[in-house]
Amino acid sequence: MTQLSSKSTQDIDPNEWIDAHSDVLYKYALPRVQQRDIAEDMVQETFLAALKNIDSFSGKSTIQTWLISILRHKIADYYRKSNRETDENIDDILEDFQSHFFNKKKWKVKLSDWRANPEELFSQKEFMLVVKACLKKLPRAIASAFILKEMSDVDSKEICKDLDISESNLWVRLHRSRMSLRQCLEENWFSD
Amino acid sequence: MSNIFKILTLKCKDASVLLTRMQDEPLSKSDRLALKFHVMICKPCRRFKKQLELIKRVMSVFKSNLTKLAQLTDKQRERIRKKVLSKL
Repeated sequence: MTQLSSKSTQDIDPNEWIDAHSDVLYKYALPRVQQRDIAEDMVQETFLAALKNIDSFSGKSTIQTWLISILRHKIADYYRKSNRETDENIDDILEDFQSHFFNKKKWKVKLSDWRANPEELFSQKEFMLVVKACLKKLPRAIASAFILKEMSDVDSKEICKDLDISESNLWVRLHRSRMSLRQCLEENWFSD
Repeated sequence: MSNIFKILTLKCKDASVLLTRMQDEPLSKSDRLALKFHVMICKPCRRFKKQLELIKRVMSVFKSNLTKLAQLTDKQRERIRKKVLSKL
């Protein structure tokens, strides 16, 4: 592998790289960005960045691991762009958000009994479509944290680093995502 | 004393935050105790807890479905190839 680090762009066949690694990169990207066209763009940008910066490949890892780390940064960039909420007013944001769901003390929205057999429920195409639609409805700025959390195996600290937010900001985003997703499922599937 | 105070004063609004937080990291002992007690006596929060667990499970199914389905088509691969080669 170390020999590769001394290679220049001319020695690399981009076609070979694309044939060998595009599937793996796409499989990594799709759950994390949720949209086929975006995932495709991410893969393309990853190859481009890698081929242009082949000199920075240290040879300590495999090419594929290196490509995935570039892709991870591309995905973080993509999400950071939609990140408009700063850390400073995070308590106010939470307080304001909670007021839609709670009176001073109690819940003010309906929580029905989701009496469901999970296996049966998850095998229903219609239900999974509702989940997908509900996820899509989440504001991207908060959903990014939730999607990254649920769709990748990286820990919270890494997600904070990728999104450039504090941990309390992350918790608030995860809370809002889960509350909103719950509300959407309640209204569109579980309510009679 | 403060633990008992927390148990007696925990509101649904704050319990909901602890319940979502619990999905990702362990809570402190006093939060855990207060929450346990609150959930025991509060039906909506009990439901909320169960719903969160279901959401967690559905997300993991969603993830594995997406990973299984994540197959580049030949058309997509050629599009990537064309763009990469043209920009190099």
